[in-house]
Amino acid sequence: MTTFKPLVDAECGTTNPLIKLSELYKEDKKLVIQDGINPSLINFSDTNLTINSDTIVDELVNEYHRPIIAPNTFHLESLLKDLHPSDPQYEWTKQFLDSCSTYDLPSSPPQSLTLYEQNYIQSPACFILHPNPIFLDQQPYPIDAEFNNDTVEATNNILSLLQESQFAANTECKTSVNDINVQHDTDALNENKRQSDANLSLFNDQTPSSQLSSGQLNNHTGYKFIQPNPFFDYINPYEEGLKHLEVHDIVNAILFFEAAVQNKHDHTDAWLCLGITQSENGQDVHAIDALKKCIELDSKNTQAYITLASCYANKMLKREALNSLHQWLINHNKYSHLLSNHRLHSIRDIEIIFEDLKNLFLQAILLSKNSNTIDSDLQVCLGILFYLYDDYNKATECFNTAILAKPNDALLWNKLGAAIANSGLNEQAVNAYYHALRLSPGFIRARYNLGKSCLNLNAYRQAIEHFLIALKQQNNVYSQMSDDIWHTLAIAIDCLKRPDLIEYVRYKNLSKLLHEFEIE
Amino acid sequence: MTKEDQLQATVAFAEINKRADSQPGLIKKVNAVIVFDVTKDGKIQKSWTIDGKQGTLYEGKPKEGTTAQVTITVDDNDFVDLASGKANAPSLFAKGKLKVKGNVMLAQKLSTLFKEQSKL
Repeated sequence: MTTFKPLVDAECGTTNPLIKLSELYKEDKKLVIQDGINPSLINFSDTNLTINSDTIVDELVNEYHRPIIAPNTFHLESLLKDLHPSDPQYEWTKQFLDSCSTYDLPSSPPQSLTLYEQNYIQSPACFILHPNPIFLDQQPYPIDAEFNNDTVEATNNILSLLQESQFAANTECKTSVNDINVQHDTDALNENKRQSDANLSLFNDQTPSSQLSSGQLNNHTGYKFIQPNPFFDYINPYEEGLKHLEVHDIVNAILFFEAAVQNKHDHTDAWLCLGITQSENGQDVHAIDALKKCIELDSKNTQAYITLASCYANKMLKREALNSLHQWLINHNKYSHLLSNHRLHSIRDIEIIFEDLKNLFLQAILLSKNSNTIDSDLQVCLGILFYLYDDYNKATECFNTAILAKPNDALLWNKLGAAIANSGLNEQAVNAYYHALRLSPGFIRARYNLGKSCLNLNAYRQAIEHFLIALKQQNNVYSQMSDDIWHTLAIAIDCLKRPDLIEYVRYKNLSKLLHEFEIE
Repeated sequence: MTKEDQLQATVAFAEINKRADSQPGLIKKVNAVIVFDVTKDGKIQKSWTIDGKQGTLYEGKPKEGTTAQVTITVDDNDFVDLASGKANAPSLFAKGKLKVKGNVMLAQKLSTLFKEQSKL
């Protein structure tokens, strides 16, 4: 026992060294759960830390602008697991849950839930690459046309957060908001409108400073049809196309819509559907061509403009995307009057156009705030605007808000996933993509995005499986598979260190690859 | 075989170029001129320039008329970890494995090159 004397012996007045040592390993029960993040839940493994220092800086600096996940992900139960029964917090939370159960949760959330909706941010460790069963099994948050006060409050809080952030400090924004209330002079209104119209015509010029692909886009001779088209002689190709969309058969739907517009060149709806479906298929160039045709026939088609904006954003064609967003606003009967109050600055500086559009959309949101409804298209426009300028956090918030109004829109879930993924949070994005795919299993783009996020997370095998399924869905005697997907598949197979399979990729031998990865 | 040919960074940069081919405008997202000085055994072996203004990526120091806004010095092995996502820049920097000269904030966008970009 004398060997242990130095350990257990203490100098007068101090604790013995052994106790001091044990203090290093004691669990600090005082660790506070702040903002819903339980420090013990955070798993600092390599997969969670991305090299995007943006995320870290953003986390530190922009705490209040963390992506707020759609309402049905709030899990008090998982927080409870980490509290011990003797912990005083447990009693309180248990009481809260008990009181919750007396409410009919799906239809009217308890008052206090909205506070937690804002503060709760799910920790990254809760997301695994397999679809989170809790997340998926929950019913989509039922939204009625009339929102109860709690949802409205939550939405208002999100909106006010948007406004409180740095750009709102810009006095220009504040004054323009005030301008709406102040300006009554009709003459001034007309003058502004004339000026803004004049400035707008400049939008149509394709300046040489546009990116290379914009020039290529101009040289396009229009939509390129698939030849031959097996459905060319069908009686009602448009209706057939819609039916195929219902069963998530994107590739054949496209063939039908193409047949429809070839038979009837001024079939506006068919061009619109063709554009939207090609975008779901991941073919932005074709989508843009089709949507441009739609707009030629119907220059007020707001749905076409909003889809165009997202396609241009994908192609990083900022000017064209801004123009489309602008056209959406002009042609929207609820918000077009805002433009008469607002003088649009000269077009040369893209940054100023961005500021102007941002302010206009915010004004529009204020308008819809008064009527207690969420205009999901408006939120999507603002989201695309932020996405265009790489502000993925704000884009995420916008898409989240849009989803509140339309929780069953697969396109929205994909947009949300894209914004989250590009901000570096690939694990969270995976959940959004699964949501999109559950709603629309034939959604090629969402599946491709899902694969890309898996690839970013170094989950090579899963990435490959997703790419292969997407290619399989696209595989059709008449139409081509996407080169982009093949390309990324090659990268994934390279990462998996299977050079033996590269041969199959080079010759696009899909069946061999499907067999290799056991996909029927 | 010179030591240069054994750099893993060469493969990594080729990968990035492949990625950039399928996504025009990718390199422009970086929006800055960043130079990587890749070292092995403590000595700088090769440099690469990512010209975010022109949208090009090439071996060697910046061309005539282009100035580097950020220069990052990193070992070959660490660079590969960085490019594949196994390590992140702030942690490498904190460990002293990554040296930065110039405006470090401009290096934030580099991750767009190392990751696949999602589409709306």
